[in-house]
Amino acid sequence: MEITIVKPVLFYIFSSLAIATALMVIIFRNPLYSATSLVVTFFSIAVIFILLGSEFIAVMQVLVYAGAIMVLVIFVIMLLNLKNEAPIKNLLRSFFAILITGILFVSMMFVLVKGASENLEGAKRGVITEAVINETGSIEVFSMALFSEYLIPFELASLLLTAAIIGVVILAKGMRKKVSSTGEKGK
Amino acid sequence: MPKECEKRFLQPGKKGNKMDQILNITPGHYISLSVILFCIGAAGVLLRRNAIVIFLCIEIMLNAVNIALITFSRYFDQSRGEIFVFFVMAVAAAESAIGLALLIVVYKQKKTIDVDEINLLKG
Repeated sequence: MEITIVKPVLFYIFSSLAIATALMVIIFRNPLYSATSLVVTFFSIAVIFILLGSEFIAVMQVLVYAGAIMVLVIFVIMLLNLKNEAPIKNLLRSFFAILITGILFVSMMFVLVKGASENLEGAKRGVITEAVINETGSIEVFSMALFSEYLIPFELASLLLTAAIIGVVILAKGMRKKVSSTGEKGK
Repeated sequence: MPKECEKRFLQPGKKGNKMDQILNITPGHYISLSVILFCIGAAGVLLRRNAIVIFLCIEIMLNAVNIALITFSRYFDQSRGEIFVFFVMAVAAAESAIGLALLIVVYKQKKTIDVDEINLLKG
């Protein structure tokens, strides 16, 4: 009984935490507060990944998103020394924004949550069942697929990251011509 | 097989115990969370004007999609969804590095990152 009750309780706690902090990201005027609450969102989503049974992705989530990307974002926010965003003046635009989001929400809920249960009947299933994962471990299953079937995309991802590094260095170098002492970003 | 498929996704057959329905976390729950997070992110992109907050909202949307991918990957007994999430993370890391560098360059030129005031390409 205890085992069956822990998972739903964790799911409800961390999903509501993720939704609340995600809302706080778009409510706060100060971008630094938004970034800080987004860190909490990322941690809650990592817990959701663990509940789904993919520990490796959860660790990657904490390392890449909550660690690397958020540090970069907070660094840039502090570097730019921004003022708080002014309140929304154009009410018509925000009305349309909320309308579009509402339509998106209703249609996605309908298609994904309602429609999926009807249309997925007889869909093809793989071989990585829960029994296989429990026997070999989720990281082993993941890495087996990554380094055999998806080896070329994996190598291309490293190429992409190299290209990104070169791009950032070029952007930072171009800046140095006009404004001095801004080259830290490129390194 | 179809009956079992439907039961695993939403458990619509169970009407008796309400508590059981709440405590039984199905893929539908995870997909609902993903949809809610995606819509929050989309609302943020449309409502906010600070480019950094828009960037953060795009990250929320990417994460929502990651939850959906892993849910369906588990639901269909495959590891493809997880692999895709791995690549999404790699692309997000590259995107954040380039995007933030671009933001700094724009800030140096325009002294603002309000997306309503950045109109360098306007003829």
